[in-house]
Amino acid sequence: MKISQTFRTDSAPQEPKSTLRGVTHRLGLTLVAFTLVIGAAKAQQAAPPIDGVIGKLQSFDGKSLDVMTPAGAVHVAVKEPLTTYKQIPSDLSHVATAPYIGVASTEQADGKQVAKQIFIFPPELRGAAEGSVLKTLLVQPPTAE
Amino acid sequence: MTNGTVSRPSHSRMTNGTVQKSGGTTLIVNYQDGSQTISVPPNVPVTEVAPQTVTFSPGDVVYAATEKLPDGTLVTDKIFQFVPAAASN
Repeated sequence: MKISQTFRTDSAPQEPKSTLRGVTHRLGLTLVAFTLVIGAAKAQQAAPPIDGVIGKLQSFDGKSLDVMTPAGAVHVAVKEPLTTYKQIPSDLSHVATAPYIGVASTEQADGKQVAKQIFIFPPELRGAAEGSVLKTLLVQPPTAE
Repeated sequence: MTNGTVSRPSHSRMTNGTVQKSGGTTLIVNYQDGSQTISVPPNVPVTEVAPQTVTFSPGDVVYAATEKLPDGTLVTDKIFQFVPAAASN
């Protein structure tokens, strides 16, 4: 697709030896430019991950919080202005145009994923907990004991 | 000391990323090292993570976007209080 554009200048007719170097140089710059464009497009497609901690809140006093993560307790200081988020109802029609989403799914025996909850994240949280992981924390079923 | 098999942590998955394709009953979610195809039942709950006043209580599941200062301190200016669909009250 985009790659084919990269090679378009390749078909330029042979130049005399003296200008060949210039052409090669320009071709190089063109390649660099195309690579940058493709890189930017790709970065837009998959959001770069942002750092964060997920876990059970142990304490929060407005200035800092302690979160129990699978890797242990983590202390995080609050930087003002602090924005807090929670979920408000939405619907499927908003998913296609969402800047970033999270999907909780049930994995069937054949490996197929069936969504059971969808979160639409605001642009500033693009990259939050990026990736796909088996959940052991977020939606933990009550222990059947 | 407790030895034994680890019970499989339910067949649950969380996938966060950008929507590559949302066609009717299937969703493809893109992330850095891959993508996940997820089928979407028509009645699936959808919620928007929105800036809201939140009262935090110990035990809440939270996500805090963090930044590490040069001295190693973690700081956050965005905290999301996560409420699973099953546990809405």
